[in-house]
Amino acid sequence: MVEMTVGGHGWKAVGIAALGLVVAGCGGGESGTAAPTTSGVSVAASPTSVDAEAKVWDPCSLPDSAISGVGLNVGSKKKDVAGVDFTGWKVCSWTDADKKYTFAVMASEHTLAESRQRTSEYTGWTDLEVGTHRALEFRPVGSANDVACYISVEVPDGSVDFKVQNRVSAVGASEPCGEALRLSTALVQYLPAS
Amino acid sequence: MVLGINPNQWNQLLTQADAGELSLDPEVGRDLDRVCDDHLDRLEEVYELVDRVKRIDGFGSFNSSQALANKFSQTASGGDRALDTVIRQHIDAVQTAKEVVAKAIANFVAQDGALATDLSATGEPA
Repeated sequence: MVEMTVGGHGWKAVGIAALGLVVAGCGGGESGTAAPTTSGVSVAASPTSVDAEAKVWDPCSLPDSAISGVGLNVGSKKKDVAGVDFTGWKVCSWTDADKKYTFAVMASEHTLAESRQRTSEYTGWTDLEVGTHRALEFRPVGSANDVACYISVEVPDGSVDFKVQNRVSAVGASEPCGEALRLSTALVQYLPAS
Repeated sequence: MVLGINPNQWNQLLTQADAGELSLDPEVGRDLDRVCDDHLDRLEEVYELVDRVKRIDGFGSFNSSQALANKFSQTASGGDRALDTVIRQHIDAVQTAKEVVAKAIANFVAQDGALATDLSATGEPA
């Protein structure tokens, strides 16, 4: 019992340290949002001012019926990235009904060719077709390599990333690239036509 | 700020639990397990978000990648202190903690059962 108590305190301290990371990380993101990148007009925080992002498709517009139809939890829907609206991006995410992975859909004006240049950060490049769209599959280099997979699908004004990341602690999760392909194939009909 | 975690601490506790040296009241244990699950949820969420921010930042349009790199990636040489690696170590540690709790509960229940058997053996005339 005594050992448990000592261990418990140590572990609690770990939790606080981890939360510290979260706060610091978000701070970095916000300063990124504030930096003007494309035009002189600042559109950073307001979701209704869409000037700089008018051409970027909004993944949060995916209908709930489609989301639940592919096995995702409609109630888990989250806009943006940890509350940060990155300029030039529209992001929405869900977890699956069994809470084994997170599914994030990230739209921007970046092209598949731009993604393909990031060879020091991503690996496992595979050219695909999703519906009638050209697409590119890749995984992050680093510790998340075994749990995360992206399928970036080309749209007329850029690309839409379909990302599956299994929870590290999930037991019996699907292979992430296979799941990303299944989800992107099922949802591609909602993307702007190519 | 301490970023890293030493998984050996929990692994040692697991060894002790496996050897029957730790026991935990099931009621307390269940609460601990719930705390572990909540913590795990948060860590898993952050771990996924870090990967997403890297994807967005990596196109070079934002200066937050620079800030994050300065804050975390370069705190030590080598890749073992990178933010994603550290968070993943924390996830592994919490999973081990859950194993310790489960084993310690099992030990308590086993001891309790053994004690009850002993008592009834002493208390009841043959």
